[in-house]
Amino acid sequence: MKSVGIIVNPAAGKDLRRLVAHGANSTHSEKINAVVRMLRALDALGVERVRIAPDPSKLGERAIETAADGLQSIDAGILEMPWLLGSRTDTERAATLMCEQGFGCILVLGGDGTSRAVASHCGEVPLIPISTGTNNAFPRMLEGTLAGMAAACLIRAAAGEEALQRAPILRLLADGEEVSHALVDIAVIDILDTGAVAVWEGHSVSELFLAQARPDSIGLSAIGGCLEPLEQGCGEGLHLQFGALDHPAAVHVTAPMAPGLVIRVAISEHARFAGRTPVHTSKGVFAFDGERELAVDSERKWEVLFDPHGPRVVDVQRALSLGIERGLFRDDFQPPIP
Amino acid sequence: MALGKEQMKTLYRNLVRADHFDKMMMNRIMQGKLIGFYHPGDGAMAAGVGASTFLGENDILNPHHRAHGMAYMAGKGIDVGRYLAEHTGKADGCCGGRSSFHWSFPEQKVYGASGFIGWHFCPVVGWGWASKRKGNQVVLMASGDGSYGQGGAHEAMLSAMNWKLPIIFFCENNGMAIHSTADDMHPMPDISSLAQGYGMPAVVIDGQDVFAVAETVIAARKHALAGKGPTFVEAKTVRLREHDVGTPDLARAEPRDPEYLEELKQRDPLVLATKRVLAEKVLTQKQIDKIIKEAEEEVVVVEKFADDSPIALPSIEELQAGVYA
Repeated sequence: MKSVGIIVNPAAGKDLRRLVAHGANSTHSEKINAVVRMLRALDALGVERVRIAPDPSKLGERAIETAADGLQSIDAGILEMPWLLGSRTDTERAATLMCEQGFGCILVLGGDGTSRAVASHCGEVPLIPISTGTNNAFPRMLEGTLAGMAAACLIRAAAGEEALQRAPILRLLADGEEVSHALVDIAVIDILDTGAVAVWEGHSVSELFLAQARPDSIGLSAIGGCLEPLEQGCGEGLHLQFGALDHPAAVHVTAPMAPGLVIRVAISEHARFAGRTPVHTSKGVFAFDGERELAVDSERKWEVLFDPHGPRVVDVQRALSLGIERGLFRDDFQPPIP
Repeated sequence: MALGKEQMKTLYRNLVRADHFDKMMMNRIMQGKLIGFYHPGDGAMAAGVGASTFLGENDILNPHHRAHGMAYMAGKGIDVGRYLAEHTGKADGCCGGRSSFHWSFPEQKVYGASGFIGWHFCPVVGWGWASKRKGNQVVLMASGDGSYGQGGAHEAMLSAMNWKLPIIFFCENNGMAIHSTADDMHPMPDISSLAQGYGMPAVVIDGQDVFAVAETVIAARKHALAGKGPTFVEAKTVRLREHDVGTPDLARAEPRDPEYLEELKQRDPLVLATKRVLAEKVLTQKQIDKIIKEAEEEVVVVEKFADDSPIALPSIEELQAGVYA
């Protein structure tokens, strides 16, 4: 039986948006509780082995210690890693190891940025992204017990692709070569600095490319979600260009840029796109899934590619349904023959 | 709110200067040219530089003891010559050469360190109260994760929140308190969790990223000046060396892994900031070389000032004038 991985970003849900907006505090104790609930569910449904990525705050160790009394047979431990740097590198290394070791599924606790870091290094290992971050475009709010149950259903009762979906991914190309990517949005911010990383000032965005645009999300993608939502699996992205608020031809959209921060922005142009589309802005900083990261080099040709073949994501409801349908929740459950 | 190009240059320059001053202090303690101890700041200078560079002239600063506050000193613009003279027991020192590492620059509203970690929590409430009455200043109180084991931390945060005082509780969390690890000392190693119990806005940031720290503290300062009360900023940082020079570098009772410490150097704030300013074309390599050369020259001037200053030989009357109880 394949192992289940858990990656918890200790830094998710704690950034500047607690000060400049009204972001919820995702505390260590709540993250530990969520992992405890996952461990209990995985154990109860017969998963044999789970490994939690280590982190400097030892959230995994604390969760295992807390859950230990109630666990029956699961081998719950910490993924072996030589050392930690306290940065995104730790998440990427953990995802790489889980991929190399053939894990069956990874539960990812964090925000869009955490999912992006994992998706970049997990290969074909399916993800269950759970929001403990500030914005909830890629990961969703999901109770820990149910997340653990869905992972167990996937490992024990589902087969092949039947409970999986492909998420789209946006690839940023410089002179035709990929330099970075995003799961939800790539934005061009018309300020130089990449200071506190998180993007929260909507008026500073000059151009936005979206892989998802849902009205029930928060963050940059919500602008598209409040203007022209993208249907799941539609195979297209959305490209928005921003203008001055007093621009006569602009469409004005009110959208939640951050928790409690609902702002009005002016969209001068917007269009769906498939395949490649050019970046028009020649100066500023690229932000990937809401995190400022890379300066625009005006001497290079920049394009965004909408790629429908991004990471594999577990359809939680479908996985649970399959588990029930195939008897995983009954005492007489017989695992399917692979 | 976001930093401009000139602000980024200022931060980079202060980071280079602070790093050079830290190395200067290391060299001098090894040469027997400092009084007392030295707590090196190697690899952990970004938090202080980012936190203090854009404080206002009126703002009160209580610096962290690591690197003897040098990261904050460089940011706040104090006279480093007088600071070094103080550390060498010279008459031109900022406190007349009597304090060594327990310095103070009251004219710049910098109230320094004590031998007792966590001493500052109660005074900071008084500074916060005074700042609130004046209405044009904030207090930046810097300390480490270890200090939040002191009972005064509770009293300070409670009072600050009840009275909506303009205080930024700035915690440099390097995960170590001398030989104790933060996860041994705190049930929840995010110290900012404590602030949430008081309803105080709290953020956790990468303390190795000088730009992220600055942007966050600018936002916290704006929050305080708007009368919204205190905030808690936890900067995750590292300790690359021993707690203080001459003390074994242990975690619990075991030596820390040198291979791990070597790996941690990837997170040196100067390495990260240099990559950033070059990639974003904020500075060219030539400009960076010039900043480094100027920092080297400043160290020479500072050391000459301190070395040329006469040894402090205060009279009995002068010494008694500084005794309050």
